[in-house]
Amino acid sequence: MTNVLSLRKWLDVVTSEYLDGFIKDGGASIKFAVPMDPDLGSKVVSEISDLGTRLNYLVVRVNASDTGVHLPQEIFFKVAEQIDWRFLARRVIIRLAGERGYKVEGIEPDSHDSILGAIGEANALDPQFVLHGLRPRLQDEVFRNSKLSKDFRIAMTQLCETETFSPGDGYKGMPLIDWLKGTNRKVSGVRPFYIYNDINRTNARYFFESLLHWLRYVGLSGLVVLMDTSRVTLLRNPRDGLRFYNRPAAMDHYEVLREFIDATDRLEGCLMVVLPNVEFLDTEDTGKGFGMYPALMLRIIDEVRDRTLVNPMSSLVRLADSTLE
Amino acid sequence: MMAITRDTLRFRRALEALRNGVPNKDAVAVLGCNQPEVEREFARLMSRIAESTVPESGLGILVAGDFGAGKSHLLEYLENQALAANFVCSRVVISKETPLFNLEKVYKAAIDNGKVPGVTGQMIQEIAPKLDPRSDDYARFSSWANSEDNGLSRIFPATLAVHERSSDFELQNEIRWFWSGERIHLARVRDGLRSINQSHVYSFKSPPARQLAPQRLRFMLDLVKAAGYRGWVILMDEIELVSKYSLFQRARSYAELARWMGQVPDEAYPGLLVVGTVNVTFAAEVLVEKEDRDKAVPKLRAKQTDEYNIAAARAESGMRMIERDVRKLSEPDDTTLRTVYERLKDIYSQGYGWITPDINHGIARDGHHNMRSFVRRWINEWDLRRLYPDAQPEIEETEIRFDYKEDTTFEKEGGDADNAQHEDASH
Repeated sequence: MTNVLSLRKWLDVVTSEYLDGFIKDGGASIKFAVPMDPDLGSKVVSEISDLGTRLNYLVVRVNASDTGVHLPQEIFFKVAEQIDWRFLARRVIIRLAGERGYKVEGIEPDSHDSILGAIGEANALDPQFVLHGLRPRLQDEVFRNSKLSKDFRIAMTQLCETETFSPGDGYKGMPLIDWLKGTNRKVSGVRPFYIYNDINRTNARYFFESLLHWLRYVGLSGLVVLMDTSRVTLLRNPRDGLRFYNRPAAMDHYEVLREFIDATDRLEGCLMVVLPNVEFLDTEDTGKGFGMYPALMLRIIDEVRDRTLVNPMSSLVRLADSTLE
Repeated sequence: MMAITRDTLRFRRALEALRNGVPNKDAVAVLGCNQPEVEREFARLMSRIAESTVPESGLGILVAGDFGAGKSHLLEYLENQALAANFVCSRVVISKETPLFNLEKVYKAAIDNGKVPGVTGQMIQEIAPKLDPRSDDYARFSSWANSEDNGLSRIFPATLAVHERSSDFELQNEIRWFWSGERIHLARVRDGLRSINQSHVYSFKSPPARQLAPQRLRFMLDLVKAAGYRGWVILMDEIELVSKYSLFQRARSYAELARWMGQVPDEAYPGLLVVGTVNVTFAAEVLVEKEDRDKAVPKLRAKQTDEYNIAAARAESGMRMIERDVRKLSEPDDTTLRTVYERLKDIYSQGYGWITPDINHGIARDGHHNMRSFVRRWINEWDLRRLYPDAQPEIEETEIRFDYKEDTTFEKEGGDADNAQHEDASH
């Protein structure tokens, strides 16, 4: 039996129960929303994006057609690409400066070329002295923050430390940002910052966990990830220049999703909405739907359900347009 | 709007996980675990590891239960207990990527999934910096690592010396990865020894790859203790997945199971405690119906090498353990179910600030229900009553069964051919 839920009802619950509630309070959830009409997917994305932005979330989009969603590090890089890392570091500096008693009124993360210069000027202090004054807090709250993995906390500390002292000074933190975004994955770029590891399959999850903590530390509600995975279930390679997932890759992708589901108690302030296509609902292990990977299917399948009502809080919902009601 | 307290969030986290049928640490913290026998045995073995001054073989518990009987819930609970008791803890889910027959991959999965109490980050990256050469624990570790009869290649004490004394942070990092299962350039280690004037003390060759995995495991167990932790707990889930492998791979898996469960007298892993879960029908449907009981050992012996003769004996132990030494999860009785029902009702009320009504909890079992099914049914109905106050929910359920048939996709991962790693582990 296929129970379908109206998009409007689902969005109302996602807002009230999750984005404006549980997630904002620090919880995490992975939801699978299957648009029963292929055109509905883009509507889901735009609605959730608007909601998330209004509620002070960072909203990011990941699409399996251009991002290897079978590799956790590729997912991290895609998310990282959509983050203004320098903006976040500047928010931290401004906040720590304010807490230290420095005047920071009118100083916004993107209002000045040199944040330390602006704070220094507002307080009649040399910018280097400002940074010197912030270092104990940076050490305690960032460098020694055990909720951030080692290389992540080194990177965040260094991003704060590399902010410029005067307008026009060359910014030296780009290698860190390139490394975080996967633009330059070589370790050689970040060695000068005492980081000796690349971001890979095994540590990507810790970077993701750390990122979530960092976003909330910086003052955001959290992260919303909209992941379109419809490409994964294609049976034949259309040779259109976009990614194609063979069976092992599809299975790897489902394993990545399973790992996210099992790790929600370690994630802070995160709503991930996975948007597969209808083929995903194939329960046969010979297809490319979730049936090929029981560990995922058994976690999200609605084997316990009502005869007529759809629970909008279920892990897996099938969506229809509200206008069809 | 309801005020959110720390407890409210914890309850909602628990409910969100249980809604999916996946117990998380909040869920097990609020519901507890209804397997007193396994809990007691686990606590006893943890104490034995922590208090023992005599190295003994690794300790293991194999647990069996049907789908939805609470195996994952139990492992989550045990993980919480282990971390709270200052053990490093790893969850390993047997899968295509983590085949039980491959010690190196299972070790790496355990390292990759290792949780260190109170910190976020990769196990080795967070533990290694805690090694304090001035501590007694480290002194013991170093003394053992340098002894001649520890069964380790000299590369281990050599890398430990360099890690301790070199000021080359990058080399330290490479050494940590080597301990975790990655390769290392021998020249780098030798350069490191030269830089600390220890070249004359440590002379070593690269050990064969197949010997490295058990040595790494042994070394890591002592390293964990030297860093101030009580030991390493590895929770191995979904062992029934070995049914998807070929016969040869299943046979090797039984041999490895014996090693992990401490059933190999000539290999000691002090400080290691492993709990594995397997579906309760595995013995009947795989060992008997697929005839692994009769075919697995001969399959290994047919290789006619010492290595596979040893594996054959271990496979025998592994299968025997599945048949006879497994602890069956106790099915919840009506009293337990009612207790969980009342507890969940209370948690739901506190989590959502809503007076959770009594519902037909269905605790008059018809043979198809299990704890997971009950919990999901209750939460599902409360969700619907809360979100659709005028509706009358009618919950139904489809049975789910696990399929034991082989999957050739798994066979591509080191198939029937002798997949021994003849190449050196380092270069």
